[in-house]
Amino acid sequence: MRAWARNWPVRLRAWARGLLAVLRAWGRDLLAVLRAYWRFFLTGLVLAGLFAFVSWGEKGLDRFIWRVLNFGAIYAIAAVGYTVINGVTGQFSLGAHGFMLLGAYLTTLLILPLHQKEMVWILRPLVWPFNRIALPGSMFILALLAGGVAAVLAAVVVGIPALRALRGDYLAIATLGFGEILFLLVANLPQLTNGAMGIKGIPPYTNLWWTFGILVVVVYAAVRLKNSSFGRALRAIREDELAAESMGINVFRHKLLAFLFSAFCAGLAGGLMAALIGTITPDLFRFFMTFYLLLIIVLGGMGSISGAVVGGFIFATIFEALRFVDTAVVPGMRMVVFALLLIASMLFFRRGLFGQEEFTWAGLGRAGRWVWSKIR
Amino acid sequence: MVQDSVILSLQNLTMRFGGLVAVREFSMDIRYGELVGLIGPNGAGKTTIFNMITGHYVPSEGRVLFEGRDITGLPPWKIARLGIARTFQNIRLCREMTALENVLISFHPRVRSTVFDALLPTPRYVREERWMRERGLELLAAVGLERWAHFRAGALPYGLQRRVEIARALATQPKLLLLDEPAAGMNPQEAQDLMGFILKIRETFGLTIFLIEHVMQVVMGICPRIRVIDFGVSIAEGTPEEIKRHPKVIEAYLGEEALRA
Repeated sequence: MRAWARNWPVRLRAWARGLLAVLRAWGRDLLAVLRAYWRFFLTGLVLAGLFAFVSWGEKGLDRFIWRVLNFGAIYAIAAVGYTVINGVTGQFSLGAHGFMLLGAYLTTLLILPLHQKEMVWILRPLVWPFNRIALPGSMFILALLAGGVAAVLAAVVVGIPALRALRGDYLAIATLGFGEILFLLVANLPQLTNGAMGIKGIPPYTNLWWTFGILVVVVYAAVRLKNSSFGRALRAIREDELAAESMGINVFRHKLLAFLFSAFCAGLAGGLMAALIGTITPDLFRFFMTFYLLLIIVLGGMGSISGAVVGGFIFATIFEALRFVDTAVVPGMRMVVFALLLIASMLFFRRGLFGQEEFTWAGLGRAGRWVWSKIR
Repeated sequence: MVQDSVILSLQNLTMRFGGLVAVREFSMDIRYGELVGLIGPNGAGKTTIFNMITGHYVPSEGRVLFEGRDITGLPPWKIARLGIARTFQNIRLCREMTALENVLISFHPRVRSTVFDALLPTPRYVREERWMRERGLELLAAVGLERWAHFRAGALPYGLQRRVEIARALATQPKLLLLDEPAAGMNPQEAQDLMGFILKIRETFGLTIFLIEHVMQVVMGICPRIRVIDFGVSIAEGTPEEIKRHPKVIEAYLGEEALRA
């Protein structure tokens, strides 16, 4: 026999030992990487899970639950923007419904098929250029972005005078008035919006891909903003505007930044909502819409992005679950329940679910350990 | 730095609130590197003078020159960026933020990244953020607060809050520091410690300091030059010794009877 074959057990053992050493080194590196970046891994895992859920849910979910989830994500998108201006920056704006209205109508005008436009605008023809445009479903995102941009432009117009001169209750009144102006404009420009009769037959482009996809992007942007130097400036403005100003922060510019971000989110949410419901009237985006958002961010915790997201889904769920109240008691009774909820949370639960904090993996770990210690 | 040149020149400042004249024709020059005290009884108009310097009030009459430049009527944030920092009589910290974050706010005006850099985030933004955190911790260490960097500012004891506020002002890299009653609410020992602290940061950072105080003993120890105002009118200026013996000052602080007795 040859030499190598004679002492094969020795050779095999040496070889195995070498392999083991390599694997162990790999394992150590892998563990080190995991330890340093485990948060990102977990977040990636959740995103992958969300991806899987959406691709299954688009077909597999019960239609009613599908709808509630879409509404939840849409409310969450608007609420994340709203909490950036109202919670993080502490500027009491009540104009969110106006921006949603703008987003909804512009998106609708861009995606409504031409034959549908002819059917809807019977009294007066639709003005150019919308009577020529009908974006296909593949360009839905363009229509949504256009809605967001329109809301941002409107926010510039109202924000420059209002945020420069006003704060507190006065800012709230000014932005509220702005929302009402937009409502009246939309209700009284039939050649553009078909007035109070509304628009029907909007193609149902909204689905879980769009709502959850946009929600993820919006949350990412908001979290980055809040944790950045700009976010610190915004929080400083909420805590003490005078002090922030004395440290060299251009208070007006930062308020405007937060206001524009919130308007963009509201515009996107409006567009998504229009293409989900399929029929819009100016009445759909009156003050109660801002009231919903306020409820969501108060319940979630003013200034908490995690709170706005969780609050959005909770709100959408309760809103649908309470539908029986409207049919069984008096139409509109649901609003009474929500108003009571808002009062109760103000009285007993002022910090909301998250306070000003955010969901973090480390925080979840702490909470988990705390619960575990209680159970044991 | 030229020792004798003037960093801040207040010229005939007058502030009226309706019919009330809070400050009347107040003039004063402060030179580079000086430590000047402004004292006066409650309601004499000391804070009003500070507010006119920092742009929170626009003076009814008169001018404020900073390094030879007329800054009257500029908004506060622009004045802060020129190199005037202040603290407040009633501490104005961002109470829900940590001590470190409070200091980082002051670095924000110098950030060159845009919002989009922060959203992505680009390497430039990451670099700047790391730079800010390192400088912030350094600064807190310099004022002896490194242990408290990650504590919520509102939860710190009063004396430390005052120091955080001063650290926050220092983070703007000021040339002139305005301190509005830094020893307010402190017992004599704490006040003495604070004065030592002020002398120390003046050395370390090469500052010019303008200090308001209404307890005379506090400023007497550290300010070589003191100005006294009463009812918005400047009544005396001089060394602590001169001020202590000045009849008008005694009258303002103790009343006319004290003088006759």
